[in-house]
Amino acid sequence: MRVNVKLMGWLRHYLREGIEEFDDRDLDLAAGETVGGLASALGFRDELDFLALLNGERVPTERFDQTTLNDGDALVYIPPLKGG
Amino acid sequence: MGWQQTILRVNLTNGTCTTEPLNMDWAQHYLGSRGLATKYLMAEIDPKVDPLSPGNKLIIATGPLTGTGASTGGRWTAVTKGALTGAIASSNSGGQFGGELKMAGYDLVILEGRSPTPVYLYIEDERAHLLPAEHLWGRSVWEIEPAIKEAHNDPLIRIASIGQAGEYGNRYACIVNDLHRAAGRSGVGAVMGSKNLKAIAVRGTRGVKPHDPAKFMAAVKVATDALASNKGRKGMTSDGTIAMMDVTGGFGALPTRNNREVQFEDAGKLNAKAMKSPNENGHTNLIQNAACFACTIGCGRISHIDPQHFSVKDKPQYQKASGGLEYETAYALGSAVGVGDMDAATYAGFLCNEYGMDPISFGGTLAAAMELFTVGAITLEQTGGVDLSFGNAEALCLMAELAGKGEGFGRDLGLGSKLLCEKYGRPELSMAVKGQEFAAYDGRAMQGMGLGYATSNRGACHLRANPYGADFTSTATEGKAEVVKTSQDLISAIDATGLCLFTLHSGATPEHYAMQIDGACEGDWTLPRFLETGERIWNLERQFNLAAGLTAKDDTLPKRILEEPAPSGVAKGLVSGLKTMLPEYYQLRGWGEDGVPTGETLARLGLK
Repeated sequence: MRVNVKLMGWLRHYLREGIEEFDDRDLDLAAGETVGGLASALGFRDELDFLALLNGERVPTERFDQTTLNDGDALVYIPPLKGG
Repeated sequence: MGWQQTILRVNLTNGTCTTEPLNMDWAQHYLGSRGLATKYLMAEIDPKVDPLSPGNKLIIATGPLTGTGASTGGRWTAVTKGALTGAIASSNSGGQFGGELKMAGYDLVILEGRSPTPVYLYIEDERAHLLPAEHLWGRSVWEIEPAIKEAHNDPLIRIASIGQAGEYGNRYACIVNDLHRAAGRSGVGAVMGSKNLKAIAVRGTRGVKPHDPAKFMAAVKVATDALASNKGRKGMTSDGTIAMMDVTGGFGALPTRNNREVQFEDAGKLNAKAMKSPNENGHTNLIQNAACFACTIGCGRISHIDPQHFSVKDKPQYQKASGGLEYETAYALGSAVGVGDMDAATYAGFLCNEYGMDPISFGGTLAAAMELFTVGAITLEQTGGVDLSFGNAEALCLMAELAGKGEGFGRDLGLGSKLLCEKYGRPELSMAVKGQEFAAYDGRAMQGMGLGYATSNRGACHLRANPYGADFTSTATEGKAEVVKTSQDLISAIDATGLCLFTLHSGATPEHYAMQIDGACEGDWTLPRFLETGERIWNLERQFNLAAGLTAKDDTLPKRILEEPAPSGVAKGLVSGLKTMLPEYYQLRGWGEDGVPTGETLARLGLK
């Protein structure tokens, strides 16, 4: 399935080695991939806190691993920056 | 000792500079900078005074950690009664000036009265004089910095000054130091201009001695290591605060076109990636990052504008590098006015630094003017023939110049959005609280921020509270009053230290501040004492505002935020829940339903 993934703020600096830096890309993913699982695969899951919007709606952090992605979804990962 | 235990008192009416001992009892209760200067202001002026009259005072304040080796220990604050708000004004700045002033030997510089002719204050350690400044009056911040350094034959002088905006009384004029840092908000620059004081130039070589050097350096190491290892800090250094553009834009909290909308279609032209990517001419806006005195974060930006851009094509003097966009400036000179042009925003930001005006309030006021134009409340007749439709980048650049100089419609813009909208019969179009324009967060998507705007002692402000994490986690109102109250107290204490608030957003814990204060200052500075000091400062500021005539009625938000639902984003359909949160906030504060601190609260804090 294909999912559009946006990485907001400075998340693109925290991708796993070997993954080319991006901030807006259509990714081909295996069926059953989740919001949390993708963040782990991309490498930033354990690096810093972040929020996720799936098709414009916020996904609660505790449901990251239960929220399955579907073909055509728009997923946005946002680091909760403070201040400025 | 942390403190230098010395105040410089400058009587501008008489032309005298004298020193006196710092009130150490007050230092022990209000710490420094924002807190200590507010205590002095409260004691020395009538809060009902006209901000632009000689009866107002302007205090330039350092904290006990300013000028020390603590990371980010370079901050200073301008405290006065604000020209924009008529409320307590406490405007914080970075750069190098604060560290230099503290090293010259001063905790506070109290500026009182009004000079009969333009002057500047020159401080060199224990020597301080007022010198003639007629030749500097009418010139910009960028012109007078090199002129003063040359006159004294010393390139290491640090200067805080006003531009033409402060001279003519632009209500949101600011004090600019080190060319592109600023004590930005509330019109502190207009107060300085009303005193005919053009600049403060300082050289300091005397150093700052902590009370217990070994304890202090151990605490500094712990705090600095925490900043260095913080995972978000790499992003802050690399991208600066403008990284927030993606967050609020994606979330739906980015005020756009005078808060008519909460997402901007051109946010991608104003974000961190746009700042670092070559444009169609191969030009990249960002050159590098920059740090203030003793800072190990380095969030500042140094930028240059594409020489082919319309704003600078025939103006080679603006093709040089200078302070680039922060998130707030990218909002105010971008989405607020509907302009998705990074170089236009950068140019307008340069002018704000050069003429010395707060870009947040300038952008918020121009946004209000654009809405007045859109609804026909003002026409080409008032604007001098300039089309003030949202999105007009040329108008943004021209109006920045006119507002900076006080010419044409720029003079109207210099009133600030509240007086401007009242003048043209549409007061509800000013997006401001207590006369101070919103910052770059919409209070419908971010409920805690809305409460923070409404209750900030200095008018709408994004720095007085820290609701970000809670607001990005949930759009509900539950729990937000507690988050806002607690963070306001902590931030008041941090602002009193001389450290930068961004340490809080880069890995510092409340314990880190208390430990460093305990090492630098005499007295047993535990964490509870540090936090209580912050609460005391907050309530003192509230007392000032009440005495100045502000009431609970001023703890509110514009009708748009209270009644018009957010049109898109995560909070689509929501309005601010202020009327739910405010009573709980007053209760948590130990204030009555009328927003006045109770006798019990004042007694507990030693404020009665």
